[in-house]
Amino acid sequence: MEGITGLLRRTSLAFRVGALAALLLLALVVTNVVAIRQMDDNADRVYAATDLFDEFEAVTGASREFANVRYWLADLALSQLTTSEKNANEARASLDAYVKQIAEDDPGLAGDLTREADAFTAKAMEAVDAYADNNRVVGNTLLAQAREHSTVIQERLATKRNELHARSETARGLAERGATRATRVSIAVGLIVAALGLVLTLALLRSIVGPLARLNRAMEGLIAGRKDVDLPPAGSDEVGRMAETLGLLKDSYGERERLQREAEHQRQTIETAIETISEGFVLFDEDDRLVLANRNYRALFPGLADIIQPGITFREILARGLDLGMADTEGLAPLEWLDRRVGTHRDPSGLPAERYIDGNWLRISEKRAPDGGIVGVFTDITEMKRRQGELEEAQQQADSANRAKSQFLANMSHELRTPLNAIIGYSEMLIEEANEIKEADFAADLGKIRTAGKHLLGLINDILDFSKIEAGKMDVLVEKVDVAALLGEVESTIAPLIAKNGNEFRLVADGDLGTMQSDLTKLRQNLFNLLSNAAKFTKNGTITLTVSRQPRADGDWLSFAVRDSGIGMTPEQMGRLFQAFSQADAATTRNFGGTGLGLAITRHFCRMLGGDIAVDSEPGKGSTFTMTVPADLSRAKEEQAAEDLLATGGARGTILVIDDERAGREMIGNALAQEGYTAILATGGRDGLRLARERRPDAIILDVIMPDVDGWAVLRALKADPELARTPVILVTMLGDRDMGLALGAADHLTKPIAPQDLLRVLARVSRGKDHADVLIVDDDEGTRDVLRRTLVREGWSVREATDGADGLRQLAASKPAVVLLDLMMPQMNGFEMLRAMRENPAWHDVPVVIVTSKDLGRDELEWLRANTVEVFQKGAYGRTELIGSLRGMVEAAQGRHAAPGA
Amino acid sequence: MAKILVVEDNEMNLDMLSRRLARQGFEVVAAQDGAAGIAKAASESPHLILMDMSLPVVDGWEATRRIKADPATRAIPVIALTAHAMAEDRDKAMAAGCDDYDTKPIELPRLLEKIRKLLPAGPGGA
Repeated sequence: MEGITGLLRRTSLAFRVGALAALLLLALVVTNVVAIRQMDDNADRVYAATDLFDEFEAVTGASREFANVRYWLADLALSQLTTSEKNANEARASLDAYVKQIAEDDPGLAGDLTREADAFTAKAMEAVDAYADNNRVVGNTLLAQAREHSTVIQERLATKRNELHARSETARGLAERGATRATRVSIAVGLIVAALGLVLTLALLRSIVGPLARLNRAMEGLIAGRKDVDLPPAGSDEVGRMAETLGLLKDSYGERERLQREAEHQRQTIETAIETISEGFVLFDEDDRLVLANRNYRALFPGLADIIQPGITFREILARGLDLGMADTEGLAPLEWLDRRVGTHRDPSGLPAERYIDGNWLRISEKRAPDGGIVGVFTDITEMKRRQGELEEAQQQADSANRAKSQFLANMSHELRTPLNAIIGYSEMLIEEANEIKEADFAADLGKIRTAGKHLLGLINDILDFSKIEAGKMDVLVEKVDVAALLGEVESTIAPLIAKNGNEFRLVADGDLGTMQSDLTKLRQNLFNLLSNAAKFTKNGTITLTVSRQPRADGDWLSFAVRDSGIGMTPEQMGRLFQAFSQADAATTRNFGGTGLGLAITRHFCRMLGGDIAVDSEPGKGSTFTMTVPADLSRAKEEQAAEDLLATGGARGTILVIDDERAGREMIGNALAQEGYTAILATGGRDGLRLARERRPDAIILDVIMPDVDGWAVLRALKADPELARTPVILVTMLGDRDMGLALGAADHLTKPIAPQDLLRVLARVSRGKDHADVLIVDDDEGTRDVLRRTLVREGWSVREATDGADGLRQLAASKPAVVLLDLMMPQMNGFEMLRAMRENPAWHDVPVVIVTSKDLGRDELEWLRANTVEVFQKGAYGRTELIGSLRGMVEAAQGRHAAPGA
Repeated sequence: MAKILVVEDNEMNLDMLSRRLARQGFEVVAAQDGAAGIAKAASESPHLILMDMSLPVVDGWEATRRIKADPATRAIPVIALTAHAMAEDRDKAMAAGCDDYDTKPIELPRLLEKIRKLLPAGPGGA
């Protein structure tokens, strides 16, 4: 049974039912065939019995008719009546008919009978004739002879009759047995067919119902949530396939359960995160019903704690807040305010709003979630607001102080200039009058008064110019400038001054200098300033002004070079040259006068005119100041404005900022520039990708939400570009996009609004791989070490400390730092000794050393240090950025050196 | 002989400028505030006016505007004398209707050149 069931299981149900029906039909046919065969046999037996009966009838008839023949012949013999003869003939005809019938079955018997009957008839007829002749004796004899034949006939017939009787008895027995057998066969066949049908049907049912029942139990189990349900084996039939499907369903139940667990885990993680963030977080669904709110959100509104429950609408919360007098309705009727606030809540601009609620300032950032709900982030900015207020106040005070200063300077210069005008004017007038009355001595003295007055005026003008520059109030007036005319004017103005020290003036100019679009006053003042400087520092020499017009890619430029054959400058003097209030050295001021503002102003004017100034000099061989400015300032200005956006800040690294929002972009750019990075600003994804390829920044700050190509696409493109894939990307995301960003390869992420310190911290961390450097600070003063360490650590460097030279050498031996910051005055082993020890040891020979000292260094000491270190900083006299910049340069140079042999 | 009206509130500057111009052969009329300047421009019919900008009563810009608004005095050229060499002051003066400007302290040769350029042909100094 099991074997059959197993076999059946491999076939389809339809096939199985079909096969069963076919089998049963076949059994019916077989049964019928057997029955028909039995009936045929019986019919044969009936035919055989009928033949026997006919034969028996013929034999019986023949016997009777022969008896009639004998009677009528005997009668004829005795009576001699024709009637008897006629009757005898009739009987004989009947007898023949029977004999003929018998001949069909037994022709031998029939022949014998005919012959004997003929012989009998012939003897009897002889006897008849004998009796007719009255010859009785003969007649009797003849009759006796005839009787012999009659006996033969009767015996033969009797024998035949007995034989037929025996045969019919046999046939009857046969028929009886045949019928019995037929009945038995039929019953047997019927029983076998019925049994077979039963077995097959049972097998079929078992092959269907059993698995179905198991399936049913399994389904009930699955519905009840049981996982260990027993499933029928999968098979190729319908039930098997159903089992298979159910198996999949069971697996999917398991998978679903796993996913549910995972989702639950994620939900808990998110919930923990939401609970942990320092902001108040709240989520409303699309019907504006509260879905979840974190603890900080509730803490912001303690009066509403009892109603802030899932399901409550924003309007209800707001209305309760209004009832409690928590909200500032901004001068609106409560209901109107309510409508308006609900409106901005339902349709948030995405920009954070600042609101005064329940005694606190909150920054509320509401955004629409993709599913139509609203996410709100609430930050308590009360403290920030307070500080901001203080800052604004301080700023206002500073501004008003600055305004007062500017006003004071303007007034002072006016007040100073008015008497100076009188001094200069009257002395000039008196010179004229003295000349008229031929008082040459007076004229010479008066000339000195005038010169001193003019000098004083120049100084006042310089101070005024500089204060204007400082206050950002120096304007540029662009007008058409005829360069040749300008030079002529300047030459005639400067001629007396140049002649004074016995100098010769030479003007070397291109034939056609054309015109400029620039600020005439500032150009003139610059030229005058440079030429008068040259005249001042040169005696009996030559001052040459060389002017040329140079076509460049960005338009024509004009170069004005003032060369003198004067005292010249050392490189050190040149370094200080353009700083305000500084001349080549203090002695210069004593010998040559001046405020020390002139060149600072000149350089500033040059830059305002879109150009710059350079100096080249050697002590004793004179100096050359070269001023280059664009011929068309208005055009250059536009280009420069664009360039300004591209390159601000310093050499700490180049950061590409991709953000479509101008304010965000510039905020980041400014923060970066302040920290010494060069910020490249891109206004969109396409622009950003282009700039990334062109400029190869050290890191990229990427806003995710942008109109043209979104941040994700940019990130993917960056990561797909083999040359940019390693550039760290910091994503600026919305809450919750972090994982996606990190998955796509971002190095870190920031959330808007960005706090500059976060940005810088992340940048430092991201670029640490490149920037990481080990600095050894050797200083006995803990305070100094502390300041240096904090400065350097903030820059992302690692710092070690040593308290004197001996300790420093031990640290060096432990591991070689990238840079050593060295104090000079230390107990036990001082800086000089340590430095000497370092320079003598080949292993430490190339470690850059920066001296940070408060020691007043003698000339010899300074020279020795310069020869053995990279830089010397006087404590308190250097700027933090200067120090960091210097260290960075050294570290990079050192790393480059180390990397080179391996490269 | 050309007549020049000098409007200047500072006595020393006025005295000095008047004397130097007189020595150059000009006839000089003086006014010490804007209102007086406007009045003398009408009554004296000078050939040219030198106008300081920071003046009491009516300032130099306003005085210039009024002189240029009066058909009787409109034709008289006005040179603004500004103390501050600032583009703003200069533009303001030109906007008020001044024909030229010069900055203080006065450099006489430069001022004389500007005066001669603006004076009608014929009369003139020296």
